[in-house]
Amino acid sequence: MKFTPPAVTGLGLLAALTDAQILENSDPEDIDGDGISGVPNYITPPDYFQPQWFHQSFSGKFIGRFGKKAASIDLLQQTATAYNQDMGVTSTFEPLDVATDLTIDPEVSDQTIRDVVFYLRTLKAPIQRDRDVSDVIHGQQIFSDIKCGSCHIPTWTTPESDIEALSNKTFYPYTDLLLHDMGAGLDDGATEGSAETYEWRTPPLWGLGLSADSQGGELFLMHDGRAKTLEEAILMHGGEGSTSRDSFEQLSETDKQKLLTFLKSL
Amino acid sequence: MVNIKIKYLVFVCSVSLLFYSCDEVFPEAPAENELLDGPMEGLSFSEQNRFLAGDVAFNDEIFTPESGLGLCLWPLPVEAVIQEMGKVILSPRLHDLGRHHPTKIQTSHLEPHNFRTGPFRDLSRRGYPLESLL
Repeated sequence: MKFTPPAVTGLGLLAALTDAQILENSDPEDIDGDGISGVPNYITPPDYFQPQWFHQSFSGKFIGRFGKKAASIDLLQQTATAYNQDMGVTSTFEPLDVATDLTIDPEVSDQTIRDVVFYLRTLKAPIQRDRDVSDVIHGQQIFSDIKCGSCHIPTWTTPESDIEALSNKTFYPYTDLLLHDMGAGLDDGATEGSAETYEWRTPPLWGLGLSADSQGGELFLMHDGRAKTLEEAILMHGGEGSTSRDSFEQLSETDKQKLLTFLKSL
Repeated sequence: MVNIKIKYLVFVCSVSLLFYSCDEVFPEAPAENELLDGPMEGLSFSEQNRFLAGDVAFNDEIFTPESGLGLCLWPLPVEAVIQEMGKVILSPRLHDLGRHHPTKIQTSHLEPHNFRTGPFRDLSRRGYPLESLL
């Protein structure tokens, strides 16, 4: 089982959204008949989770929004869990040592965890480049035409936040934070919360054009890095992404390139 | 007079040398929209300080052999930490499960047969039943 490390930029904006905003795009029964459902991952919160005004409880569960399958409700859970499960570092939040299965002394302080959470909340979001270039504009239109934006929702606006810089900000992450059936080809046989083995959270696309630069010049796309190019990643979309994938395949070579140019501008 | 001219010439040459040397030593700074680092705009002074504290914690503190956990860190499920320049950093590169660390640090507990006791045992192990839906 392999996972690529998550991109961590702009997370504060995603964390500031309300559950109600996320639910607006959920369509579990596909009532609009567009082939896209989109469901939240309902997570049993850890003991240390403190609901904010924008969280909603669903029989004691809360909507996850971070992680490959949206298994973390907030950035504190995401951070404490990442320290513990990804790096084997215990804290008072997640005290169980994954190597020995014993509760051991916290190896990282609460203060450090909270410092990292604040850092993640306030790390700037990626900024799109070449927005006025005609191929980028045309590529963005194609992105919309072939319905990529049904899941990779471009635009969101935050409500009021305890951090003024996060309040009432319009931003462009290209995600709906919901789970989607991505087909058998991407089924990893693993579940998290209410996420099925073939369900994945729509990953934000912002920063996509800069990711190769921060990864030694190579791309590692999809949940486990199996796609080495943007085109490969698009063609690996199954399930709810099949229609958009097929539409991409039917594009002219010129239009494909424009779409890819747009994605590289993010 | 000649002395002043020589001094002037030496000054111009020194400045030119400095300018071109620096040009070669320091690459052109990337544009703001080409960076994936830095605080968001509009933070207050105290928030910027908290950001910096988190920046240190995220990027340095825990991952140094001197003050943090250093090389004893090795990721269990993500397998994405590499040892580089004496410092363990998060890496986007994928590593095979059970791979031995290049510095020969004991990693036997990461072998696949032990993975089932690892971190995802209760969360996403193959065949683990779904939590009940609403």
